[in-house]
This record gives sequence, structure tokens and C-alpha cells, in this order.
Amino acid sequence: MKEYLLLLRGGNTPQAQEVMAKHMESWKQWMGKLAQDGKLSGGQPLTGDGKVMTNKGTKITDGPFAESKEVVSGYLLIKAADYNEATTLSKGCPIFELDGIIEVREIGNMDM
Amino acid sequence: MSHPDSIHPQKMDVQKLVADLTRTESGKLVSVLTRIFGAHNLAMAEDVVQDVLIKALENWSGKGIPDNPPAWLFRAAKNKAIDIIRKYRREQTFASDISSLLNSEYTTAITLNDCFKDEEVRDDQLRMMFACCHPSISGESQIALILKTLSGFTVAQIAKAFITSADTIEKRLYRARQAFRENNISLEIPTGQSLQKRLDNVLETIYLLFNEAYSSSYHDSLVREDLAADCIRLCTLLTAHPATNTPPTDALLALLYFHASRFSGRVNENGELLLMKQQNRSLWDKEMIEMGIFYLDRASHGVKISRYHLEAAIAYEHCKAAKYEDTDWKAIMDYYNLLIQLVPSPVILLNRAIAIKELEGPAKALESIKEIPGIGYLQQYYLLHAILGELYSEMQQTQTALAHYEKALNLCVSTTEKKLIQQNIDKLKNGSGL
Repeated sequence: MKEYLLLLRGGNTPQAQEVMAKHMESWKQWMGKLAQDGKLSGGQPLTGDGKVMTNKGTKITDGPFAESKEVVSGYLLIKAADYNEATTLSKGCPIFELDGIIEVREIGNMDM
Repeated sequence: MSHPDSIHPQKMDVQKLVADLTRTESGKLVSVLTRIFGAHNLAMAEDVVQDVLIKALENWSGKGIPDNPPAWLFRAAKNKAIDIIRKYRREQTFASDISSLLNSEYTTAITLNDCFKDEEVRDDQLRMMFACCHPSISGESQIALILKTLSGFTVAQIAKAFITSADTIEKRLYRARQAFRENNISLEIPTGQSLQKRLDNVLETIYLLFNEAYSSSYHDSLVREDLAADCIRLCTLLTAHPATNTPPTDALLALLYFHASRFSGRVNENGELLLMKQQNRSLWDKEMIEMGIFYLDRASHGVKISRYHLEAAIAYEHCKAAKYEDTDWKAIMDYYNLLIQLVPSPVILLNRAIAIKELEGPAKALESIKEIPGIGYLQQYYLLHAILGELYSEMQQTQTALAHYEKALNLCVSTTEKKLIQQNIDKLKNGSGL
């Protein structure tokens, strides 16, 4: 069993109450199933603002900005045997309802 | 509208409203919050409800009473729950079946919304009942816990009702909460094999609670009536759920209704207890008797008979008799004979002796009492001596009768029943010129 980080990018938040309610219900269904199957380690949405630190941490600017399709809107940590399983599990993620995309990355071991 | 300083009558209204809502809503609130936080966090749930009620008192006194007070309370409780979850999710565990959903902001709000739906809240009270009646908790702690969490009584009210100290009640509650943690008790309706046994426990506890409410050793009559009504409410919840709607559940509810229906007739204007034969039966609540009949009928569709079936049948015999003389003692006797096979208790045989007296006279009744196995256990029970006093008095054995009445008087705790026994003593003494 390995762990995978899902970086959720983009995805426009629904404005209409009803659509929002249905969308949140999808989250509950999908994450609930992952949890039930013992595949969910955690996950949180991110706010739209942020800071970017460069130049050895001395330069701090606002960003990245929410309008960008590339901006990470949330993350999830799941357990899977391999990329195959990880991507299969991620297919049901409600971010796709909002035209977002998912970057799936395996947590690596770091030996010394 | 009204000037804040002239709020006095309004303030009283708010106080009374919040006190009433404490009784009707806090049980639901504690149940749903305990379901969310987990049974090991019962104290947390109780604290939130306490905070919400205090907030209501402050807020409504200043801004006026909202259109839908219960909804206001539930909204406030939900918001407080979210705050607590957000603040403590890193170091606390909540209800294990939803903890991952509570930990992620993707699903926190919607999970809480679902938990606060009406059907869930209703079922949570049932789950709470089972948790409170868990076999690892002592009988007196079970009762204190139900009264505090499900019925919304304060520790002071419970202490007064049991004629004990607030400290004693707090200790019982503390032990119960500890048992929740130590035994990993979770809020759920048991399934499979254990359901029947656990349900039996719950029914027994409700019955015990109801008898406590009915015993005139209660100091506070308001608490007593409220409590009896609450037992009916909790039992009704059980009859409404498919898992717990068994014939014994229906039979118990019928029994509770029949007893409750006679409540208004038990005590006269002077607060004195009246015997069955002295009661004004027109004061008995006909609607409650109808409810009892309804549930007794539902109960008869089972395969097995429970003690509640028989006790309800006996109670019904009294309810349906237009006057004492119309009572079908033969039927009552038959029910007692069946009951004793289910529950071989000396107290039941003692009650049966009254039926024997009506059918065969005091001498036969006396004989039957002497033959009760385990009669020794009843020697410290005031009712044994009260009944013996009555029997001996009917047989004109005044001295023996008085001896038993005096013993009953000494053993009896309740002031209203003591008065009744004293009346019997006085009547005997006056009658025989002593």
C-alpha cells in the first residue's frame, strides 16, 4: 500500500444554492466510500489566496491567483497499491463536475 | 417595541420558554451531538447544549423571541458543533463512523447537515436510550443518565426527585460517562442477537423510571407528571422504529397509558392518596385509556407474551370497570397466575392476594400470602404489612391488624402513603373504641 497526493487544480465553485448542495453531496459520497474502504488519509480545500516565496525565501509575493486554471484548489491523500488504482479511485472525484483537473503524485520514500 | 427596562414580564416569558424548551428539546440536542462527537465525548455534547440554552436566554431577552425557537436552538447547536470540530479535530477523535468526514472541510458541513435531519435526530434519541441502558452501567446511574440527557432535567431536579444530594447524582452521572469511555460504547441501535436482550434492558429501565414517577415518594409532583409523560414519549419513539417495535414494546406503552390515565384520580384536593375503590373514575383520562387499548391491541399480534402484556391486561381490567364493584377479579386472577409463571416475584404474589381477597375473602388471601416463597424478603416491605393490616382488620383481628399497620407506617417513606396508613390506624382504633 502506497500513499498518493492528489493535487486538485481549478474547478469553478458553483454559485447556485441547489447545484452547490448537490456538489457537496457528491463529495460526501465519494470521500465516504474512500473512507469506508480504508483508502482515505485526509484532504482539505484551500482558500483562493496565497503567498509565493522565492529567492531563498527572501522574496514573498501574493499569489498564485485563483483565476488561473493551474492553481491548486485543494488536496487529498489516498492509499492505493499503484498509480493504476490511484487514478481509478480518483475518477469519482467531484472536482471533475466543475471541470477541474487532478495531478496524482506518489509519496516517495527518502532513504539516507 | 417595548423599552428594555420594562421587560420584566417579557423576561419571565423568556425564562419560562427556555425552561420548557430545556425539557422538550435538550434531549434531542444532546442525542444528536453525542452521535456526532462520539459517546466518549458525552460531556462535550452536554456542555454545548448548556451553552446554547444560555445563549438563547441572553439573546432572546435582548432581541426578542425568534419565530421558531426550537429551530433557533438546533441552528446554534450545529454552528457550535462545527466550531468545536474545527478547533479540536487535530487532537480529538469524534464518532468513529464519520470521523474522516468531519476531519475534512470538503465534507464537514454536509455531514453535519445530514446529522441534523429530523429522522436522524429522532433515531439518535433511540440510540442514546440504548447507550444509557448499556449493561455495564449500574441501574441508578442509568436512570440518572436518562433523566439528565434524554429528559432534560437538571441535577438539582433529579436530586430532589430521588430525595438525595446533587453530589450523589453527579457521582452517578460521572460513573456513567466513564463507562461510556471505558467500554467503547457507541451510539447505535443493536442488531442481531443482542437486540432483544438490549431492548429488554431499555424497556425495563423505562418501566422502572415510570414506577419511580408514580411512587408518591416523589417530593415534587410536577417532576413526577413530567417524568411519566417522558416515559410515554420515549416508549412511543421505540414503537415507531421498525427495529424496536416489538409486541413487548407496544404492551409496555399500553401499560404506561393505563396507569397514567388514572393519575388524576389518585389524589384528592387535600393531596391525600385515594384507594382504587375510593377514586372518582370520571376523572380518569379516557383518551389515554383509548391509547392504551390501541397499543394493547397492537401488542396482541405477537407470538410470545411478555410480563408487560399481562400487567397491561390487569391495568385494563381496572380502567374498563365503571365502578370498583364491576371489576372482573376472576380475569385479573387469571392474568396474575400467568404473570407469576413469567416473573416468579413475591411482590406479584402479594398483589395477587388482593384479587384472592375479592374472590374468596380475607382468610384465603392471608393463606396465600403465608405461602409466598421468599416471603421473608418482603418483611421490610411496607406494602406487605399494609395489606396484612387490611386483611386482619377485615377479619376483625384488630390487635394483629394494628401491629401490621404500625410496622407499615415505620417502613413507609412516602408522606402521602403514610397518611393513608395512619387513617386506617385511626379508623381501627375509633371503631374498636381503643
